[in-house]
Order: sequence, then structure tokens, then C-alpha cells
Amino acid sequence: MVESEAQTDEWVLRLRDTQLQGAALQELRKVLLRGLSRAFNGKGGGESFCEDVAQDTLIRILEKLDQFSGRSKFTTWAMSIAVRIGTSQFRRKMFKDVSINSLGDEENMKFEFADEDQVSPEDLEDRRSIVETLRSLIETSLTDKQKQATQAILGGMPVEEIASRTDSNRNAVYKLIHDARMRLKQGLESSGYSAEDVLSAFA
Amino acid sequence: MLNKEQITTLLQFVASVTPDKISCDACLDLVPELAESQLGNRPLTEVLEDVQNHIDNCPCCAKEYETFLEALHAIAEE
Ligand SMILES: [Zn+2]
Repeated sequence: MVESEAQTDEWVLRLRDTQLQGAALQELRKVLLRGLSRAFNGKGGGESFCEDVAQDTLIRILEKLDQFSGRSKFTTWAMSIAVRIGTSQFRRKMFKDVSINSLGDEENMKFEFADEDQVSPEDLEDRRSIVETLRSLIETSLTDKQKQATQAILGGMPVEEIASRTDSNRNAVYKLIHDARMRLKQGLESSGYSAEDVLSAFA
Repeated sequence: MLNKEQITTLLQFVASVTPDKISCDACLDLVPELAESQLGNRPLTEVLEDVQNHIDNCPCCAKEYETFLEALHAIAEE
């Protein structure tokens, strides 16, 4: 099903028309459910999860209809809203009982080198030295919030979940972590370790 | 205690970062256009290059974009 420009316009017209809206919503719901089932069923989001997300999406689409720019097909835009709502609900469900701890916590800052695979003493020394540099950079150049958010995202927690636990928002948490990564990367570079050096030492 | 795998993940996370001009919200607003450009093999505009760059930097938007593409494939099949 490739949607033409005329079909995109038709979706918008039908959803704005009180007479035609009901049937259009029914049709759109089916399209959304098809996409949501494929996207979430394999991840553990079942049928009722997808139904709820589709319902929430239809409401959101009616609210946001004036913001549809027409720069993509209507169903592509609608699907993006559905996936956004679905992802956020799915992540909330998955991480509901997970708390966050900080990269700065002493326990988390210990690095274990036991059972090294076949690595020459020189390479092992490189690794130790990179890790030691990183440890001291984390200690000296990151704020507590940056340490906490970076640890959480490395543990697999999504940014919006970190945000909800730290009274923040997704954009701000992303920026906090991005700034921390840039600072650590620049710090490693100033200490003589390029990104390539780091990646190849731990390849 | 971080084991070698976790240290490697942390170092890769640090070493792979690049400057990023846009936020998660701005990225997610523009993924419909990015997906259609990529699926239609059209060259990316400068703004869409920025969106792709954000996705390369942001693990959460990257996963969400992957999910979105799966959903788009499903609705295109009908
Ligand atoms: Zn993002």
C-alpha cells in the first residue's frame, strides 16, 4: 500500500469532517494496529497493549491534526506518533521497578581485569592506563547528575525513564549525557588517547 | 564492579560520540521524513542529515527509529 499525495489529503479531509471522521478513524485504527503488532508483539507487547496504544494514538492525532505538515505521507506521520506513544508506554512498563545508581558510586567505579583473554603485557598496560585515565576524568570532570545519568543509560535505562526519576525531561537528560560523553572523549584525547586508540585497545 | 564488557561498552559510548545539533523531540518530529527519504533512496537534506546524526548518537532514538521502520514495513505490505 503506497499512499499517494491525494490519499494523504483525503485522510486529513475525512478526519476533519464530522460526517466522515468515524469511518476514517476505524480505518486508521486498523492501519496502526498492523504496524504496532509487528513492532511490539515480538518484544512482549501483546494485543491489548497494541489496542490501547492505537486508541491513545487516534486521540493524539485528532489533537495534532493541524500540526501535520504534509511533508510525509499521512500514515507515516500517524505511525510515528503511534510508535512514540507505544515506545514510551512500553519503556515505562519495562522499567517500572528499576532504580538508578551512579557511575560515581565507589562500587561501580571498580574495574575488573581478571581473566584477561590473550592480550600481550603491553596491550594490557594500555588498557589499564586508558581505564585509569577514564576513571580520573569521570571523577574530576563530570557532575553528579552526569555520572548518574551516564551509569543509568549504560545499564539500558531509556532517557525518558531517567528523566522521570530525576525530575527532568528527555531532551535535558540526553544533553546532560551527551555533554558528559563529549567531555570524557575530549579528556581522553588531551591525555593522548584518540577514539581509535581507545576502540582498538579494547577490540 | 564493572567487568571488561561493561568497561568496553562505556569506552565505546564515549569514543563514538560526535557533536549533535538537535534534541530527541526534534529528531522524533522529523523521523517520518527521514524514513521516507531513506526507504525511497533519496539523498538526505541537511536537516535530515542532522536527524540521522542524532540517531547515531542517541541509543534511545536509535531503538525507537528501528521500531518505527518495522511498523512502516508492516503497513507497506498490505
Ligand atoms: Zn534522542
